[in-house]
Amino acid sequence: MKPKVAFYWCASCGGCEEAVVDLDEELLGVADAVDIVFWPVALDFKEKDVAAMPDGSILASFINGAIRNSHQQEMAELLRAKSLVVVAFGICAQLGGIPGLANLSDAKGILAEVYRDGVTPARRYSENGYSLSLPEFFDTVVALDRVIQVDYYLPGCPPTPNLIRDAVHALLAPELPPKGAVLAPDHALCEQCPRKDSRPEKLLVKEFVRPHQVVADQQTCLLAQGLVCLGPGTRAGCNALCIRGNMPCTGCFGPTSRVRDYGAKALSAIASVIESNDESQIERALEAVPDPVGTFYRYSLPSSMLGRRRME
Amino acid sequence: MDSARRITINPITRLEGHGKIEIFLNEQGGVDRAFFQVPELRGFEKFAQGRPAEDMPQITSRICGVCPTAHHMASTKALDALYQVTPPPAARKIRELVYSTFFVEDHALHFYFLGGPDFVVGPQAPAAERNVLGVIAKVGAETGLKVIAMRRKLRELMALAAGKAAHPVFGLPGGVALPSRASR
Ligand code: SF4
Ligand code: SF4
Repeated sequence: MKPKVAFYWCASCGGCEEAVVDLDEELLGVADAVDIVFWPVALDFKEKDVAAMPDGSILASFINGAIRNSHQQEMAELLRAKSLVVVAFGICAQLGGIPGLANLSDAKGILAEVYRDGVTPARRYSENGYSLSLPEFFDTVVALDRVIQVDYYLPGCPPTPNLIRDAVHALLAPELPPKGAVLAPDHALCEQCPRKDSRPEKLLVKEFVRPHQVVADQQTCLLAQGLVCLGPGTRAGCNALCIRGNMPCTGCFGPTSRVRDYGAKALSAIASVIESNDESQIERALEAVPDPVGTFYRYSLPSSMLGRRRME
Repeated sequence: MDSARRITINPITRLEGHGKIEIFLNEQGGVDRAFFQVPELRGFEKFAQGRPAEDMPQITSRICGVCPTAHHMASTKALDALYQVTPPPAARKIRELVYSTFFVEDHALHFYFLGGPDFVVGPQAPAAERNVLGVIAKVGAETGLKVIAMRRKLRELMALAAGKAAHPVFGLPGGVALPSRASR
């Protein structure tokens, strides 16, 4: 019997599940090697099919998305019970991702904005004697490892097909990677960047510019051009996709293993290139970073040291 | 409620997004009431506030990872309007190239991977077959591989112009980030 593998999505965009489709021809190889028993974007298996499986019968569940409501938490718990290995698949599951920016608000604030004066979703609803329920919408988004034990992490928004393929093979190999491993290279993105040779040894800039304010040179290190490129603080693995598209890295692969708080690391990497000791000059340079939390914690707010905004 | 009179489809599959359908039957076994539920909300409407406008193409693309290009492009056009700039002809053509490529790729995805299998393999086929693998079994490996290769090439073309196919990074007010691909 082939080992069983599941994919599931929590608070995410479906891009991680689509990234599995982007294995293209290799998807057929994966489908030969394993039985995919759950994968909502591509297969029609239901929650009850998973619930009916014996505990521990799935080799690996790749769970993407952050945890933002009680149903996602229940599904994570269900898949944890059924699986020998759980992989936090993609940056939302690993660190909270873009849905984690919701931690700048809370349930009340979000519901009020989305539904305005309309009908607000209720946890229980009944009509004609028929009763329906909705999950609890949490105040705070958390990463997957806050609700279940996670064995491995696969970073990226989304992880690249190469990394996914390597991860599947790593889990099928006789010797598993060390528990807790992030299944991507453990060095900074700059090392994978086609422009790294143009990055000066001691990189200093007088001011920053926003991407729409310049015509960025296509060969030179973007940070050296004053664009806030988070390559120095971000884990390699994507092969510098954004930079190849002439746009700065926004950090979707999270930090390397030596870093506890991605945003703090990214912030200090950027702050340290400002060529000035003069406070007003520094302030002026930072005017080009009008949204520090959305810039440095774009994908990692829930797993940061602060975790969320303190609501009054 | 007697379970014979309640049909739950959970989750709905082969599309992006969480959904659940509850169907309640009457005494005669006909449908009395049916409810479509979306047990999910992320709150982009709220957390997009306070972010710089030019970050919207990359933030809103995360509404959907199956059609990120649509959201990316809508935000980019909103930026054109906001900044009151018209992209020059070359930028416009690059945008159209990416969007048209996406349009073809997304339809192929829908037909062969998502909605299509129920029709190609047939609604009565077991769940294990109503998917892309079942479609390939039905149409033959040769055609299947042709479709997969075509989709891969379209995604590669998108990545060339847009940086990433999954969550593009090329949209800027009044233009695109990568004017041409002189080298990479
Ligand atoms: S800072 Fe950005 S552009 Fe410069 S070398 Fe690093 S990843 Fe490349
Ligand atoms: S360059 Fe940065 S933001 Fe872009 S895909 Fe790579 S890690 Fe993610």
